[in-house]
Amino acid sequence: MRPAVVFRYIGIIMLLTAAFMLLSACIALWNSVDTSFYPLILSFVLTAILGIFPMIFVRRSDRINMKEGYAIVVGAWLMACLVGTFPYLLWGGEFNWSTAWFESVSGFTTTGSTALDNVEALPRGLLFWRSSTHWLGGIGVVMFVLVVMPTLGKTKMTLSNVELSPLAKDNYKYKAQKITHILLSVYIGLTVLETICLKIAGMNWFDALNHSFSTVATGGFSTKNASIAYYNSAAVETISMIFMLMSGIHFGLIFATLTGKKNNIFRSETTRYYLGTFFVVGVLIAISLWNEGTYSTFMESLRYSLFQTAAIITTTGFATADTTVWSSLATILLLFVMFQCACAGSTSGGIKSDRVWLTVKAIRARILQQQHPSAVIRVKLNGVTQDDSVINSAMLFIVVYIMIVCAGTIIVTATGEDLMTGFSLVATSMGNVGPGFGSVGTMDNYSHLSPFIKIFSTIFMLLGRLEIFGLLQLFLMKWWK
Amino acid sequence: MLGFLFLGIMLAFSGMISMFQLNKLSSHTQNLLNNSMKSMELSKDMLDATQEQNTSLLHIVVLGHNQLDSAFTYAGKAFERALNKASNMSGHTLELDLIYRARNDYNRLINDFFSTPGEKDIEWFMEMYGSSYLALTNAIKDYMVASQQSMLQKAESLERNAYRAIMPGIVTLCVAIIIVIMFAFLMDIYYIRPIQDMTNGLTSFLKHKFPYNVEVDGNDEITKLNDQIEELSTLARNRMNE
Repeated sequence: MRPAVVFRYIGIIMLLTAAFMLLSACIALWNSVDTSFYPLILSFVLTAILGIFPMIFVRRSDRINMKEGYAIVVGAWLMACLVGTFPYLLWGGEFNWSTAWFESVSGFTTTGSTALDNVEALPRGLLFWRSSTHWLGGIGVVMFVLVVMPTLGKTKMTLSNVELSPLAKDNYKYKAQKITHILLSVYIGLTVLETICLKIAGMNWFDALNHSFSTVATGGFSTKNASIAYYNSAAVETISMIFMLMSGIHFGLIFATLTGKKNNIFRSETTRYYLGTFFVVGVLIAISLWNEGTYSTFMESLRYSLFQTAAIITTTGFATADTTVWSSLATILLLFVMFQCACAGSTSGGIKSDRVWLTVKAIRARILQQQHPSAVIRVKLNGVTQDDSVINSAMLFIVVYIMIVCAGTIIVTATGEDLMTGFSLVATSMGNVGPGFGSVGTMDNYSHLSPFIKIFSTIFMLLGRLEIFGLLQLFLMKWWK
Repeated sequence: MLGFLFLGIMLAFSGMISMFQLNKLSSHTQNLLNNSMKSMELSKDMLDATQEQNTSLLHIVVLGHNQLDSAFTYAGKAFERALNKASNMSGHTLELDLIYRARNDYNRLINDFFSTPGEKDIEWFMEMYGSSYLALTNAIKDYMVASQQSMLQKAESLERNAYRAIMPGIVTLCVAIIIVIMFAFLMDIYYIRPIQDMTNGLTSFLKHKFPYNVEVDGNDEITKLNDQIEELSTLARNRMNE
């Protein structure tokens, strides 16, 4: 392990973060030098110094090993979250240390929960910075730099291996170098397309761009206190829903579909499972809401249920309705999709549909094996036979995920929060979803929670974003030797 | 060097922001305390004067002590002075208007009392005068409460200013600490350790005639120095062998 090399690469990521701070400052400047201009400029300079400093000393290294790769990725996330607090802290207002850290981690991990009572009080520069953290976090800060800094050469391969979910890598049928280009092309393409669509639907350019950043990154920050509900527009909701669902699909598959490749969305088993889950859960919730009389017509129930299901399954977390008043069936179904979430290789968090579907198949294979002990039964996913190690690691991930959520719930409820708030807060943070139930529902925020719970929930956000083991590795001392 | 220069500039810049904000904070705090003290004193003066007039009038009505007229007039003048001073201070126009209105009603009643001596009895004092007196004292108390409420609002604004004054300094200081730690670490790796290795290599060569074999990774002056020492040691060993 060469810490100096790790510093250098984290420094590159700091420079990228600083560039977005500068861009946000330009927005503040363009908006008649609003109050966020000086905080953003100062943050830009400080972050840029932090980024440039190790680059002055440390020479470029063509080869980095797996341990260094892990340290770079995890270190980059932590440092990005840390410097991301600078504009908030310097601006003041509702922000203090815990709120700024919460908002920054929630932004970079694309969770989208807010600890602010009044988002609309923020100046435009700061609102743009807030959305930028989603956009940067969505693709993975490291993945960005791999494309932006083509000089990294062989290093690119190692970092891609670390940053991408192991299941996501299986689905890519391209070389590692091309993966980053595919991700970026799809990411920017979706952002531009959604911005234009939202503008046509009636939003102004600023709101359209901010909401696109949030949607494509499956984040959930909005420029309005009432989130998407503010616009009360079926067109805006439909556009957001379509792009949320698209952002939850493996980016490689979107690219393959658009370029007419064989392994496209329609042939992907996991994508079919993910979209199937969305429709079934959405319709079941609509029936439940209509039956309970929450909304007057079935179409109205369907409109809100489909949007909220899409917002939660893709881990975006936008809101058009208060789900805390929905029926028990609707709540439990939303909790299920909050755990499962969307596909690997997308910007969403959670357990991922791939792992859930693989586990379902493994259970089916196990039952068949018991019926036919001598038979050789293979588990296939998207037509590819899966190794036992892949199945085991998927199952282990699910078990560890649920154990962490349970442990977190115990700690949160021990602080005095009710069970539903505690459980959904930890589950929503782990899945990088955003809204939960209880006092952290779709129409609430996290401002009323104690600083301890705010900081505590950011640990789960980071654990979820780095797929648990990525973050845990960093703290295992044996691993450093 | 460039990094430290930037950092120095940033620290100076943050310091300037802090100084500016702290200066503003200091003068605002002073003004706030002065205004609060003044409004409290003036409210007290007005309440005292009204109380004084009330006592004098009670004596006149009940006991018929006409010599208390001058005390009544003096208290009335003290009230007017305090009210004028309060009007000259900025803010709370609504509450001051209420005091003026209540005072005018009160004065009208008093004038009526003195223009028709002997007609007004204790019943008039308890009912007519009592309600007017209560309205006046309540208006003064409202003014006091409003002054204190605006103090609270100003204190919140001061708290925000104080936050803005110290935060750039704290954030820049934190960044400076990180950079200093990183600088020490990198200096150790790239300069101190190679020099220590070279010194140890040279010592081994001079004392025990071990071959000088120190590897320094890089492409800077330290690497060049190491290469030259290696060349020199090879030359010296060759000479010694001859």
